[in-house]
Amino acid sequence: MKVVEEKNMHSLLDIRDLCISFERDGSGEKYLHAVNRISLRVDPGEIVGIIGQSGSGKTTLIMGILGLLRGAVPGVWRGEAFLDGKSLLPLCGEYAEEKSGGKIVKRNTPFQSAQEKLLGDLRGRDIVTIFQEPRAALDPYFRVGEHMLEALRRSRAPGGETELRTQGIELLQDVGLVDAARLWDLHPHQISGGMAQRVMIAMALCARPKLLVADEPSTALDVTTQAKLLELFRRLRDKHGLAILLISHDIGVIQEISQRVYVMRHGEVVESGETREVLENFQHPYTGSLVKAFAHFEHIPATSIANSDAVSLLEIKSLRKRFQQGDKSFWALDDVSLELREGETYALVGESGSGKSTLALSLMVLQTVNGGEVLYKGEDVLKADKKRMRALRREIRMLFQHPEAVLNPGMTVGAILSEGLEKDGEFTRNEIDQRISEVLDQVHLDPSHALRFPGNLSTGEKQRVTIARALITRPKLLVCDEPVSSLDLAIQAQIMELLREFQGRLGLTYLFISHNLQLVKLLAHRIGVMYMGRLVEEAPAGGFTTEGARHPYTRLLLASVPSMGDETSRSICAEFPDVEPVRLEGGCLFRNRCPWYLKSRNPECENKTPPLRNVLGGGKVACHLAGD
Amino acid sequence: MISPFLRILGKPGGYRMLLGGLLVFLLALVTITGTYWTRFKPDEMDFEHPLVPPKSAWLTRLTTTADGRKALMESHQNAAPSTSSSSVTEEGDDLLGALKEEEHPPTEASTAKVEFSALRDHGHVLGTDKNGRDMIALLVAGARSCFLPGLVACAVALGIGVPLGLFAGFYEGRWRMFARIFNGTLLSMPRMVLILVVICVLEPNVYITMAVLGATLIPRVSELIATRVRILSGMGFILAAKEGGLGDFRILTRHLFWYQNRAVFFIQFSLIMAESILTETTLSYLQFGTKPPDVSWGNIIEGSRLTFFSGQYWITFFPAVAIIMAILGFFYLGDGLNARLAYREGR
Repeated sequence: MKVVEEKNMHSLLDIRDLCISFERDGSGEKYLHAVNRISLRVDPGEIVGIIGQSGSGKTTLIMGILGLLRGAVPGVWRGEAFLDGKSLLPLCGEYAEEKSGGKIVKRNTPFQSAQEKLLGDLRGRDIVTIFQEPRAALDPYFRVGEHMLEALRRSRAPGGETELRTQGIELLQDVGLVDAARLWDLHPHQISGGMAQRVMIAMALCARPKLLVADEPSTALDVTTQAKLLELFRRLRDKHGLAILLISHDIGVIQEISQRVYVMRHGEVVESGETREVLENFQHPYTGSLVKAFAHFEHIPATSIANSDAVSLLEIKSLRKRFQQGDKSFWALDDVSLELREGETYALVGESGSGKSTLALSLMVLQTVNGGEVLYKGEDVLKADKKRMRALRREIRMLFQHPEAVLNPGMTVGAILSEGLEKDGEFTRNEIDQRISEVLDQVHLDPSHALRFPGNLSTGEKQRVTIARALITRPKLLVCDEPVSSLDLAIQAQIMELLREFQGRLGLTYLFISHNLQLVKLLAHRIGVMYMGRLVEEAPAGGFTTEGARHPYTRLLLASVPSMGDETSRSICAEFPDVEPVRLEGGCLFRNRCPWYLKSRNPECENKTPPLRNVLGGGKVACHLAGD
Repeated sequence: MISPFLRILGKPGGYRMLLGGLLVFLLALVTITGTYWTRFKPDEMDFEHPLVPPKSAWLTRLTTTADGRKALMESHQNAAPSTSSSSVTEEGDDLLGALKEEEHPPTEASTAKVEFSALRDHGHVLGTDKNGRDMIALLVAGARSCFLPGLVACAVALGIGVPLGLFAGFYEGRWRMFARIFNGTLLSMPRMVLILVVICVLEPNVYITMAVLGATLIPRVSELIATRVRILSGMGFILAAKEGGLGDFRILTRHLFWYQNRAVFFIQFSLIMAESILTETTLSYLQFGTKPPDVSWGNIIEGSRLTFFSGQYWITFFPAVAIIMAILGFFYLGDGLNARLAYREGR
């Protein structure tokens, strides 16, 4: 035991050969090894990343050492975990010791309150955790200030309410919430996700922890907010010497910030080491599949760059949509015009709330609009009568973000697919069956899948079924609303490959909506950037770089994409003020975040809506200050 | 053959579903095929054998030897005159006959008579009532008269409640408002009072009564369906169905009703059947429902009111068992389905 403690002198968190297995059926014979012989080390002041796809055991590992898994499922534990030399597992209260072959076998035992209390103290003080969905982790009934006070009291901070309040506000300012005094009295639903995540971090910092465990902290956030959060992590490490264990499925995030990385798969660490070393000279094929998921895209030129003289297929003219939110209302789509040419991929990017999905739903006539035209081959889709609409719905199809939500769980795949054809009674049963096996083959699924229920399919297979569902009516235009963002990286690549294949073979036109800028660059011919319901820039894929971008917002988006310690991106990000996006009235909506406006205070930006004008290089931009 | 049943037993609610299903199946079978295999018609009065207990036909035959039967036959021939006199009395007022029966506890001779009539194979396996009507025929006819009005109640409750719920859940605005007012009005009236009022105003027809019962159940069904539909309408697959070009009618019937709410439909069906059987027998017992000479389990019991304590237990006992089994069957079926559904949705 002494030897062990000496070894731990310098590691903050030291996990050795940890196994967490769950009984599969309660018989004590079949086990699911959620965490299998994992050894992991975090040193003080170090940012360590764990990367792996969903189901690889990342979260189980963390919940396990924090004692948060208890009672969930009967499990068997093996191995050791130390925090600052203190053994964690006995505190987890998870085991009765049982010697077998020299190893300690740990089993769930009934609640042991004394140990639970010790662990609770440890959890709030030495290790703190922040979770993926910050607003879900904050109690909606408590104000931000009450959350902070509670966290401060819990960490046994001395002083009365006023002193604690000053302390709390200082902490909030420390994590970049400049407006902390105003925030103090707000409820969690009144602040943005990025702010909520910062509040969580400020609460975590109350106890002056040694280790911060961040479980997918930026997954639910926009790319710009994510960049700010990662910057904050870096600052906390430098300022407070905080060690951070960062769990993520996003290789960019890990690459950007962590010094060392552990690659997890099926509950095992397949590779570990210095981040740069691991990601550049990976040994394990799985790491390769993560790093190079999209590598083969780069070598294939985007299918036959759409000619500028290609026929226009879809034209959206000054589309407007107003949303009512309580007593406030705002333009979700404000005078958006764009044009899709036949056979091209037009990508729409922007932060959440920029109106991308609203645009998709509006042009699919799935919601009403407040004005404008959607011309499909010169015909206004919004004015089509019922019968014409049915015909149009066959030619314009849509892919949705969450395949599991789109497929009715009570229907077989075959029933889901045939529905699009059955409704008009034009096809015989035989023809429909033939079409089904044809499209299933096209999306590389076995025809036998037609008899299965969506519940029995993997997420990737489900998304293939939704693609088949769209293809079965032989569409011309496919509106893809974040079709891959809920999927794992490897499956994302497969689906993107599939979409690209169809474009080449069937001549499909895509309107591709995504917040993932890297993905968009690989697939799109032209890219439109939306901000607060307006199209602020349109650029050919080649000009979509931090240098080529005309609009400051596009530059911010591109610079926020995590990349391996890229100094220019970081310096561009630093130009922009750290403010939350607010809906402004009149003029340029971006001006409160725009470094150019803040420098020049151009009155035009305040009064006049910038028109979308042509610039050199074939793009368009809506900015008073951008050059030609 | 048996394995699917065994598989059901392993699931939550399985026992209840299987037991209930069996009872309901038996009831339905009896209702449909009853007229083909019953030996007597329910309105056929066997004046020779009133108030025959079930035991005599059933057990004597099993327990006595051929010689014993012969001896009994002989003793009957000696007692022949008494048989005719008793049947004459039965032709008179029913009530009087029953009272007479009470005044004169069965003598040795009458016991012999009864046992002999069993030997002559009068065929009343479960005995007869005071009019000499066969109990089995009565029970079968009673099953029919509680099953069919139950179906009427279900048809009204589900036939109006389900579409109303689907529309109110799917369309905002007018439909929802209409459903709210309609359901509110119905809920504001106590069920039994409403039924009794309708009976008083219209002629007391059991089908009308059951239709009224069904109407009082509309709010429950429609609100249940509307709430589910309201939640489901916001889900991706309804949006996707619209995107796929399906009309509202198809979305409502296929996606929202058949694939998402059919379980609710079947659960409600069995629960309403159980409730309507209970209501029908109650009303018939109170002489507001099925009127004699039409037969219902309720009015069989009502007719046996005076003979029950004089030892003719069977006239009350068998219909009561039938009522309990039928209601239990439907309740178990609904309950089991409910548990099964909750389990499925929980996954």
